[in-house]
Amino acid sequence: MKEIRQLLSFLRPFAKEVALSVLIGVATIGAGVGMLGTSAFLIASAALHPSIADLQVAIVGVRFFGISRSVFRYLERLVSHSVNLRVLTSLRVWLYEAAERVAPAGLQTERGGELLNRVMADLDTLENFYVRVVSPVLVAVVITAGMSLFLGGYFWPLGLILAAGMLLNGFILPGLSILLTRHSGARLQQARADLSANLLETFQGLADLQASGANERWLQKVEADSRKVGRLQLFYGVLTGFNDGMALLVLNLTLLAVLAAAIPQVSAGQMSGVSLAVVSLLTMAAFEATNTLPQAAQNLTASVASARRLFSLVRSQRVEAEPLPDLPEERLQAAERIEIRGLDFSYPGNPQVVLQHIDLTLQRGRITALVGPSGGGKTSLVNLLLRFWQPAAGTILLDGVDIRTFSEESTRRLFGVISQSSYLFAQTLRQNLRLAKPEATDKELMMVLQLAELEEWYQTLPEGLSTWLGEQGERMSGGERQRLAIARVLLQDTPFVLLDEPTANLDAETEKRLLATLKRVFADKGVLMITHRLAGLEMASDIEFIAGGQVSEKGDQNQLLAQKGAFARYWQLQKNQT
Amino acid sequence: MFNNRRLMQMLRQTGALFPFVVIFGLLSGGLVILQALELSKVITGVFLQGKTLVEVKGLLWLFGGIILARVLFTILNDSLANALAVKIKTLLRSQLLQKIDRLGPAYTQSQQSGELVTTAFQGVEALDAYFSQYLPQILLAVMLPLLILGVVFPLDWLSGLVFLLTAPLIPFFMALVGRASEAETKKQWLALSRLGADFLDTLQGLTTLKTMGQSKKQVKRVAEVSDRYRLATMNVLRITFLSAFVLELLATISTAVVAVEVGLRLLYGNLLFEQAFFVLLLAPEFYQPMRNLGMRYHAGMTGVTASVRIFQLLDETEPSRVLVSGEAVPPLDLNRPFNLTFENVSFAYPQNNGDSLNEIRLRLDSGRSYTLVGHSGAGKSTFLKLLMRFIEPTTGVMALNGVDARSYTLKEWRRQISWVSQKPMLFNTSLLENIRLEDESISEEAVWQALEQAHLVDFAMTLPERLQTPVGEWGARLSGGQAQRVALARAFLKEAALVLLDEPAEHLDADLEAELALSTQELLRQRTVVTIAHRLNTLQQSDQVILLEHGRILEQGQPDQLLRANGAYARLIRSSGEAAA
Repeated sequence: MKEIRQLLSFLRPFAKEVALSVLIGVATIGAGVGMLGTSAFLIASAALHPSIADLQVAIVGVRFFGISRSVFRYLERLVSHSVNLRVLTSLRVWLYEAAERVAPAGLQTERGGELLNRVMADLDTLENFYVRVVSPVLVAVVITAGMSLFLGGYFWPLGLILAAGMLLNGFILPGLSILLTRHSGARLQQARADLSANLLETFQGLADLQASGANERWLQKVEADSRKVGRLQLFYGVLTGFNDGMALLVLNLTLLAVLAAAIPQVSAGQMSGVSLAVVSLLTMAAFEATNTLPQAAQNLTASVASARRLFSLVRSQRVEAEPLPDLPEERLQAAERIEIRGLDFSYPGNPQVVLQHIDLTLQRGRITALVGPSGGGKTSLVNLLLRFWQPAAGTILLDGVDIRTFSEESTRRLFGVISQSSYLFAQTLRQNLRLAKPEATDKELMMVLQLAELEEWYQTLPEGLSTWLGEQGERMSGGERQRLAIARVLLQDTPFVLLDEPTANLDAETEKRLLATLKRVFADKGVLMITHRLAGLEMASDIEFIAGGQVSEKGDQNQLLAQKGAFARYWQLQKNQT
Repeated sequence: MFNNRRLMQMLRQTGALFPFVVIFGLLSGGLVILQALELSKVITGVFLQGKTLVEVKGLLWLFGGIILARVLFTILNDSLANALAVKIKTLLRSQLLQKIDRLGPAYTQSQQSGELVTTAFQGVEALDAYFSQYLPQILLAVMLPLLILGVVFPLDWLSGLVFLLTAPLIPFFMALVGRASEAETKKQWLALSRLGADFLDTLQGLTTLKTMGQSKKQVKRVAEVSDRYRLATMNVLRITFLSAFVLELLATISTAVVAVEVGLRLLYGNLLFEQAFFVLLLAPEFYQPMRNLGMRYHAGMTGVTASVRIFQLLDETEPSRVLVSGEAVPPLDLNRPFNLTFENVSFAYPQNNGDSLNEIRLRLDSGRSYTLVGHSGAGKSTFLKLLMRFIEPTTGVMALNGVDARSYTLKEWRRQISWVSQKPMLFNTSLLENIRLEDESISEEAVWQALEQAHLVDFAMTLPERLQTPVGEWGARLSGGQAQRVALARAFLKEAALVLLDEPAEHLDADLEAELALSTQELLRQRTVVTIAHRLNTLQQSDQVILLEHGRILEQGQPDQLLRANGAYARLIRSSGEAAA
């Protein structure tokens, strides 16, 4: 219930449009009812052979309703979809703001998976909440009330009968069917999720399965999953049939009851024969309003489930304490040194220690390298510097002051980041670059492209800075992407630069050239280079060797090699690679 | 069109289900006519003949009986239509699974697994509406109106004529509008898909935005883009909704025309009330099946679209696994001395999406160790796949003791070979089942022993439920080194005489790596081994080195000899030393 109320609150700003859409929706069904009613009136009256003049009104009525119904329907669909899309915009803005507050920590599941796909699927479900749930229910309520009153005007029990039939059909039966199937619905969903996961596993692990001869057994298992989904769906098919059958039964029993109640009235002369014809057709036509409600009820349950997940995502956000002051602009400009002191870290809900007692210093004009085998917790350090996560212990000092005394957003301006695969937005080159500096002129953009040695690539672009990048756009090589990331960081002009495996996806030749560029353009920054490879280490003035979350050795390359410790052994291993 | 026919052929595999679905649909739709007839009789009786409730009681009971029959047929129709869809879906999914198994890992690795799941799961589900709703409705949309025409014409030919003339207009106008809306959608496709994808794109790049301090400013953009998306979508919808508009307009206007025309003829005494009322009741029913088809058309087309990829997958060419001769084949036993020969073996991937092999001539003898070296793309892993028979030679013969390998079933063949991959797949089940993958009946003692040989016992002891602990996606996370040792444990358990080893290319830390090397050595002792090497020390220990380049054997021999010969192998060794320095 809480979720429904919260969902409905998204409609409040569009109350006028909602009212209009419901009004036209009522008019649509009203026109259908009207056409059948006037038709019945026309034919029944004609049977009594009056003069043609007496029938004129009815004839005009039939034509009017006949044409207006489709016009109303068309307008109703346009208006309701427009409301729908407006609500979607509000939902997106709301969701974005929520995600923005928790990203990236809050957008990962406990096991490190991405929540994004689920979030998008939930948003898809909620997208049609208005058109498929709210609008049909409101229209049905109005029509049920209106038609019952209208029929009650002929003879009051008729109104009661119709109201009962429509309530039963539109609200009680769908509600019951949802209550009864809640359990099996969850089972079907689970079976589908299992099947999907097992299919993925089988395809990904086919080599392992075939090599060990387990493929036949595994296939049988997946086929059993598939049959289980089928069995549950079979049950649902019978249920759907039953629902459809019940709806049909209730409609026709209502008609039968209306007839049984009205016929004695006609015999008694309390009601005209013409009215009998009209009343019976009106009864049948009125049910159009409740026909779509079983589907609406299904959509409602799906929407509530999706809403619950999304709302809980928002609720799980940590509450920010009192707002912290921004890092003063002059401190940012004058920033010289970042000191990391005794940093401990593990991911929330996971006992595994990721970083243990890390000490590290970044100094403008110097390159500090953190080296070690992959999976050693190196990337977590970047997340801690950016304050995406909080350390369990230890401090990060900016020129001697704890950065936690300033707001998160302002201290992020200290760092430019280049990770192993830089994200490119499906936007133009200009838009992608300007993310780093919204007020940058085209001249500035050209300058950083030149500094990042992207000029040659730029010459090949069909539309220059307006060329569309990203998924459907220009294909870029790994090296070019990284250079674009360099250009972005140059625009940001931060005192410190964090390089998180910037060459991980590149071949040796490209790596060499990129490292040279990095060294040149970031010469005056305080650089942290995180890597599991050995290339470029000679540039670093300090190297820390990290394995299993702990730094075991420090020094420059020659000192470390001379120590003949873990670093030297690691060095030897890589040299041995063919 | 071709896919349509092929989909319909699938109906044959479901026996009499489809005819029954149509028959029950027809019955439940056809009874509407009878129901209308009874209703018009009741109303005429009370209205014009002054009958009382008691006098029409019989008719009302009959009316009730017809309702019950309709309800019954509706339930049967829905249930059977659904059963039909479920049967076909299960069948297709099974066919897809078997097909993918026959195509083998060489195929799955060339595809995106996620896309394959989409095909086998969502794609097959998309066929549900095609079979349970769209296909039966096509027949009903033709047959039910014809039935009503047959009833109406003898009673009132003029109304019949109105029906007959308007009916063909509906598909005609719908096709016309459909084409216009398709054109409009196409025109706006780029804008629509870019605007539609923008939100996900922004969410995915949120971390990047946040690091650049731009994330808060994007709120406005999200709203703007979403608004532009709304306007663009509405432009398309304005035209798309026209097709429903036309359908509705034709159906309601012709009902109105029939009502007025019948009313006027009644007025002038050319028609009886009972017949007129009957025709009026039938008018909406005449158009209903076509409207239903209109509603289901989209779902049907989605199914046809999904079937394109499904049939494409089912039609992929499989590796030829033909048994070459009917002659008696000696039993396969690699525990006795054997030789494996490659006689001019070539292999190329169908779409060139892998490394090919060219005229390989080679002999492998039991009890020796062979090491494959070469640049990436030289064909090393293709060679291992041939040995595992994940693929079969395009030309040439791979023979065991002179007998074509294809004479043996895949099961026989693979039972005697261990394959240790770089990144073994961990399945979403217990550690125990992950180790004894080949046979569920292997004892836990044997598994513990294999774990010990693979140096994994300490790790297994730290797990909360020991062997029963779930691993993989939803369970305990194994590090790269541990996963590799799971592969070793599998191999220890299998005790095969021939081991194919793909050395890990990724570096672990030095101590771990030394430990891994130790267990690997244990495994390889006294077995025939083919290794893809990434480590120089592995090379020095092997009996024979095979240097591949562009799918051909460039050099072959003992490592020392090759080094002294100062050819390509020697150059490779030297350059790798330099690269690391």
